[in-house]
Amino acid sequence: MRKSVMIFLAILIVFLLLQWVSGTFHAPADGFTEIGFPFKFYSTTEGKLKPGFARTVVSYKFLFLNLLIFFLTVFIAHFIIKRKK
Amino acid sequence: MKGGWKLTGIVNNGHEIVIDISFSYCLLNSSGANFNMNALRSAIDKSIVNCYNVTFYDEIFEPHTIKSNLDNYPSRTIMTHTKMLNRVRVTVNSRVVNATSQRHTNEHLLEIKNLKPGLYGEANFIGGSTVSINSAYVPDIIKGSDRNTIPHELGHTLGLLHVDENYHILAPFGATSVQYWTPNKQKQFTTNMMFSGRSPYMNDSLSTRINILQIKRLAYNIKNNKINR
Repeated sequence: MRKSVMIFLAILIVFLLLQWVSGTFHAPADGFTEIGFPFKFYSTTEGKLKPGFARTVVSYKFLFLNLLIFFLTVFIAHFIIKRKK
Repeated sequence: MKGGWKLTGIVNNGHEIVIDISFSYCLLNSSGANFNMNALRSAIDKSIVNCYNVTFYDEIFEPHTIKSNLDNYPSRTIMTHTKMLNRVRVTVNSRVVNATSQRHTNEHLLEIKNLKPGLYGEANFIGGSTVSINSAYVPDIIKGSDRNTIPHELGHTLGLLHVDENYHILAPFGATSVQYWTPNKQKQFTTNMMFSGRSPYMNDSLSTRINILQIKRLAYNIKNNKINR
């Protein structure tokens, strides 16, 4: 049980780091700040936008895909470690 | 040095302080659309001069020695403060190019591109030397109805931030970044050019003013090589 939690936390930390490293943070210079690994699910800008264009976009489809990939990674890691025993 | 901002001189004439800044850039159209590039260049030059050529009064502190005419009594030095007129003069050197390879080392690149729909423009980063302009909104710049976008993006290349955004890492706990303006201060200077796109005060033709603190910051940034990257 303890080992399972450790594997889960380790992969979670790696995924969170990957979100940070793969993100772009250009909103203060009027570009886009985009976060999400492997698929960008959050995008926002502080720049001038014509009316009718969304400033912040959250893609729940990509968020769901990212979570799916995360849990699949945790499952596969578990499986590999168990097999090695 | 990669960019076009240069502090060419600060001269105290006795009755005023003149701050001379030169700005060099090349203009490139990568969008595929046809524009009158010379008309665009002229409109951009005009919007830069309109925003950045400013005069303001600033307090300066100077030491004055008061001589004692009495034997055995020493002179005294006191600090007096006076209001001095400051005049910022920006000289713009611009040219149109056909490729990024034609860009010189000491000039900014202003590039017309097909940016994400809706976005007016962006700087490559704070203190950078490249500005991208959305081709969809170039006609408004040429017409003169958009006098804010270019000076605003160039403000980012000078190290200026949005005045209505708090970038302090401890902002949730009440800390504020240096360039952040409280809502009351924002109400005092509603025509400032550095409001973010989400501010109700941001306006294409009216948001063209710069204030004393921003001038001092950009002069400091140019002098200390914190920009033109």
